[in-house]
Amino acid sequence: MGNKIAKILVVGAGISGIRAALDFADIGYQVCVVEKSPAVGGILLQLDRQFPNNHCGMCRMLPMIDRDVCSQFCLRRGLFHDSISVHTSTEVVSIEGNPGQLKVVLSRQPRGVDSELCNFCGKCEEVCPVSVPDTFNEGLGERKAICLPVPHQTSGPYSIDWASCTKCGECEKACPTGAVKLDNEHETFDMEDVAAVIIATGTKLFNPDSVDLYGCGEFPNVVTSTAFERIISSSGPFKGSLVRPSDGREVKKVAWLQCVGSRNLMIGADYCSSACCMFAIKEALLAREKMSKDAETVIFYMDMRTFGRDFQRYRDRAEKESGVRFVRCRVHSIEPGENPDDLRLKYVDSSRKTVEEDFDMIVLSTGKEPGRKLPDYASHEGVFVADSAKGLKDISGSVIGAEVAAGRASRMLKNLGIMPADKDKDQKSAGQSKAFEERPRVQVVLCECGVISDAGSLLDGIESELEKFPGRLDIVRVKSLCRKEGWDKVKQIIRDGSANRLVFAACNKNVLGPKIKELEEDTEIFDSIVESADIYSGDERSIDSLIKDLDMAVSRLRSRRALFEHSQPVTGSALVIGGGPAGLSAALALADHKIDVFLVEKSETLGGNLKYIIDKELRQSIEEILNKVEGNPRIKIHKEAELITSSGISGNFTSKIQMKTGEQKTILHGVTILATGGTAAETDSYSMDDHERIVSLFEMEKLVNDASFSGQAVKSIVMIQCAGTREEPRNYCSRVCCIKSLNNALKIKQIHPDAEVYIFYRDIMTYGDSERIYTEARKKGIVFIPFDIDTKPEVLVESGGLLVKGIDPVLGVPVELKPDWLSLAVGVVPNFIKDLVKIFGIETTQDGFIKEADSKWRPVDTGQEGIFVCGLARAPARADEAMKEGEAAAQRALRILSKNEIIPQRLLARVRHSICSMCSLCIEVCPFNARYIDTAEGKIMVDIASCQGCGTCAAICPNSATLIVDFEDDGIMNVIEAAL
Amino acid sequence: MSDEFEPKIIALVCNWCTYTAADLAGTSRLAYSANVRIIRLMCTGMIDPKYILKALLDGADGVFIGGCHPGDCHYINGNLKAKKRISGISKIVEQFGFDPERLRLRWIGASEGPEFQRNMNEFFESIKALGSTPVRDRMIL
Repeated sequence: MGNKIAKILVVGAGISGIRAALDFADIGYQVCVVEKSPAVGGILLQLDRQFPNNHCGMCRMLPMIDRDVCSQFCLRRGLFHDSISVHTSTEVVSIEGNPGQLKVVLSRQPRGVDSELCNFCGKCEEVCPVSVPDTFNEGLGERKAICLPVPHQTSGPYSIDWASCTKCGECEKACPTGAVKLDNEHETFDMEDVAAVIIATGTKLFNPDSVDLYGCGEFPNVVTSTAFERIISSSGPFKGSLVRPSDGREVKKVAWLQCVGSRNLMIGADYCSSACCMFAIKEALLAREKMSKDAETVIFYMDMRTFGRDFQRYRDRAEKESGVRFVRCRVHSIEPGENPDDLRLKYVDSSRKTVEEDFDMIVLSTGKEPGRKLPDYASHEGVFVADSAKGLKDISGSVIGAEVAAGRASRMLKNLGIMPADKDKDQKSAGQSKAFEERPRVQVVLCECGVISDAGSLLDGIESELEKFPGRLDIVRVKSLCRKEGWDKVKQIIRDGSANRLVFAACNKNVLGPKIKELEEDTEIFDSIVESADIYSGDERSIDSLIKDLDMAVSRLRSRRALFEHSQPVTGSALVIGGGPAGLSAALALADHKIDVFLVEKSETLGGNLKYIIDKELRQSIEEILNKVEGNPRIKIHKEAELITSSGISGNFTSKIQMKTGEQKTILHGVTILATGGTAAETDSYSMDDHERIVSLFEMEKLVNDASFSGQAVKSIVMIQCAGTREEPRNYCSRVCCIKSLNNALKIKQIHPDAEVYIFYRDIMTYGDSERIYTEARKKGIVFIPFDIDTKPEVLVESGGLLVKGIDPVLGVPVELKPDWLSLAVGVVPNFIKDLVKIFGIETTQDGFIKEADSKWRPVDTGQEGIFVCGLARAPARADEAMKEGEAAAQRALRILSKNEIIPQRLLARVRHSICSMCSLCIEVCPFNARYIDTAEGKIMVDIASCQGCGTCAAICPNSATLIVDFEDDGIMNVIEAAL
Repeated sequence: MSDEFEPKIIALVCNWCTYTAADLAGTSRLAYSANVRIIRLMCTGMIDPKYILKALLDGADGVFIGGCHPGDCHYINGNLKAKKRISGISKIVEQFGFDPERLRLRWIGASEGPEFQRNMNEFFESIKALGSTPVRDRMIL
C-alpha cells in the first residue's frame, strides 16, 4: 500500500479513551484501542446516571457529523466505528521507537470464548459449576466463572474469568458452536508504525477494605459508592430496589461518608479526589427517588466541594427541595447498632454535641487510590497522557482532558508531516448507495443453524409462509451463519445474485452485527440494506409470530429510498472571539494544524486576564503562547475590533467585524470559537467600599507580591471567602478564589511569619492536587473559621480601623478580630456578551455564562454545531484550565475544519419543497437548529452538518413535507401493518 | 390455539434507551409476551399521531411508547415533545372509540432491562383486562 493511514493507539477504553479515539477517527486517523478489562466503557458502565443532572447521555459522545461510520445506539453497549478497532483484555507491555513510528508490544489474555462463534445462547453459563461474587456488581450477588462481563454490552461475547475458572471443561462440552476454548496462555503481539499513543488508563478507586476504621468487608451494609450505584441500578443485584445487602430489608436511612481514602495524610493521600462530593449528592438524590417520603439521607463531609458551574445550585436543591441532610464533620468510626445489621455513627454536630445515630446502610465515598503511578512508557516521546489518567476527573474534565491529549498528539503529527487519510476521497457514502435507486429485490437468508435440532421443520414452515408474501422474494438456506463457512456462502450469494436488499433470519442480531460490517467491506453493500430477524433466541415462538418479524424486516427494507442530499462545502478557517488565555490557546492549536485563524479582540492588547496574573510559571506559559500567536502567519489578529453580524451554517459562516476606526471587514470561516472570558466580580457585601483596606483577593494578591509589602507592619490579616458568591443571585463557586486566597495567605506567612492570618470560609475548594496548598496552610498556622450562609462574619469600620466578628468553631464563642487588611473572595463573572448571544442565537445560563450543548459529554460545544465555547465564557476556570478548554474547543472544531465538504449521512431530514408551505414549525422545533430559510431560493433548508435525523420536524410537519430517510411515513405504516 | 385473549401490542420505542433496554431484556432472557411487536424509531419525538391511529385502527389492542428518561434524550428533548403530543393524541384516540388506556407512554433507560420486562407485562395485563380492541367487533373499515 502506498498511502498508509497513520495509526493511533489509545490505551484505556473509559470515557477519556473513547473520546480520544473518536476524536482521531473524526479527523481521519485509524485508531486502535486497547483495554485491560473485557469491556469498553470504564467505570461508566457501572453508573446508570451521572451528575450534575442525574441523566445518562453517554451516546452524545458519538460522532454527530460522520454518523454512518459509527454505531448509532447506546454507547454503553459498546463502541463500533469503522476506523476504530478495539482490543479488550489487552495491555501494553512496552513502547519504543520514535514518534510517528513507534513500536508497541501488547499482551492479550484470551477471553476463552471465540467472538466469531459465540451466539450468546448462555448454555455455558448454565452448566458452569463455579459461582463467585459478581465483580460487575461490586461483589454483590453471584455470577459464574464464565459470564457476560457486562450484561448490557454486546461488543464482546461471553468471557472466562480465569482467576476463578477450574477448567472443568463443562462449558466447552455444552457450547453448541464450539466457541469455548479453555486456553488462557497470554499472547504477546507487536504493533508497528504507531504514529502516537494516548494514555487514558483512568484512575483506580481506593479500596476501603485496607482501612479497618470503616468496617467495609466486615459489615455487609457498609458499601462503597460504586457498590451503591449497582444496588440502585435496575440491572443490579436487587433489580433496582434499595435494600440492604445483609437482610434484603428496605433501606430507610442511609449515610454517605466523604473523603474515604482522600484528603488523608495517614495513607499518603494529600489530595482531593474532586468528583466524590457531587457523586455522593447524586447518589443521595437517586436514593430519595427510590425511598419512602420519610426516609433519611445524610452526607457527612469536611468541605462540600461543589466547584463546578452548576454544582452549588445542585447541592442547594438537594438540601432544600429533596431533603438531603448535610453534616459537616469527619466521622471517625463505624460500630454495629442495637440491631447487629444496623450501623452506628458517633459524631460531633454543629452545636458541638456528640451524637449517636443509627443507619440502615453506610456508603463510603471512595476517591482516587493513593500512590498510583503512570507506567514508565508514559513519558516516552510521542506518548500523550489524558488528564483522567493523572487523577480522578468528572466526566467533563475527562472529556476535555482527552481532547487536549488528542489535540497535542495530532499537532505533533502534523508537525512531523504525518497525515490522516483523505477522508473525502475515502469515505463511502452509505446514503448514496446505488441499491436504493433500484426496485427492491429482497433476498431472505434463512440460517439452518446447527445448534437447534429441529430447525429444519421450523424453516419449512417459515419458507412456506414466506412464499405467500406479495412481491418478489428470494429465499435461500445457509448452514450455520455464525461460522465462517456459512458466512462465506452468504458473500457468494450476494456476489452471484441480483438482490439489493438482504434479510437474515438467524439468531441474536448482536452476533450478526460485526459480520454484517465485514460484509460491507467485502461486497460493497451497506448495512442500511440489511435487516435481521431473530428466529432462534428466547422461548419457542409460533410460526405466525416469527413470520411477522420477517414481514416487518421486509417492509422496512422495501421502503428504504435513495438519498438526494448534496454535500456541503466547508470553509477551512476559524474565527476566534477573545484573545485571553482560552482564545489564544485555541487559535494556536488550530494554526498548528495549518488552519487559518481570525482572532478578534475587543481591547487593544491580547492576553485577557494575563495582566492580573502574578504567578510566574502561569504567566510564562501564557506569554509563550501569546508570542507564538503573534508570530504565527496563519493567525490574523484584529485588536480593538468587535463582531457585528454573523450568519450561515456550520462549515460556512460569514461574519462582519468592525474596527475602532469604523472600518468593517467581512470574514468567511467554517467555525466560531467563543472565548469571551470573564472578570473579577464586584460586590457590595462586607462593606467593601467603606474602607480602603478592604480589598478583593485579586488586589490582595498584587499587594502581597509587591516588593513594598515586606516593609509594611502587618500583624493580622483576615480573608473572607465566598463574598457575594455561592448564594443567589450569584450562586456558583468561582473556582479560583480558595486557591488564590490560600496562596496569598502562605505568601503573607512567608514574608511576615508572625502575622496572624484568619480565613473565614464556607467550604475550602482546593480540589485535586491543590489540596496540598490547604494542608500547607494549616501547617503554617493559618486559622480557618467555617461559617454558614446564615452565620456570616460581620465587618465593621470602627474609628478608622476594621473589626471582624465571627464565631469560634471549636468553642462556639464569638471572636473579634482587628485586621490590618481584609481580603474578600469576590469571585468571577463572565464578560457581558448580550450582543454576541443574540448574533449567534446561543443560550446562556442565568449567570450569563454560555451554555454548552451538554455539560458532561459535550462541554465545549454550544447548541449550534460549528460554534464552540471555552474558558471563562463557559464557566469559572483557572487560567491553565481555560487554556486546556481552548485546546479542546480547537480539537472539536477540527472535526469540521479537517473536511473539504460535509457528506450527507443516511439518517437525515429532507424537505419536499413542492408541498412545503413554509410554515416554519420545523425551524422552531428542531433541537439542533439545523433548519433555516434560504431567502434567495425561498425554501426551507436542512443543514446536513447539524441535522441528526431525530425526526421531530417530520412529526410536526402538518402536510408531511418533511421526512426522515429510512423512517418515512409510508415505511413506518407498512411496518405497523406487517406487525399486526 | 387456546381461546384465551392474547392482546396484540405494538411497542414504538426509541433507538437509544428503550430499544437498548428491550435488547438487554432479550439477552438477559427476561420473558414477556411474544405478542409484543417492537418497532424501533430513532426518537419518540418522531412519532406522528397517525402511527398510533394506524396501529389501533389496524387492530392493535394496545400501543406502548417507550422513550428515554427526561434529560437523557439523545436529541435533547424529543421525549418531552412526545409526551406533549401523546397527551393530546390520547383525547383523539378516545373520539375514535378507543379507551385511552390502550395508549401508554413510559420512560425506560438503556440499562433498565428488568424495567422493560415489567412494563411490558403490566401493559399486557391491563390490556387483557380491557379486553379485545373494539375494531374487531364494532368498526368496519
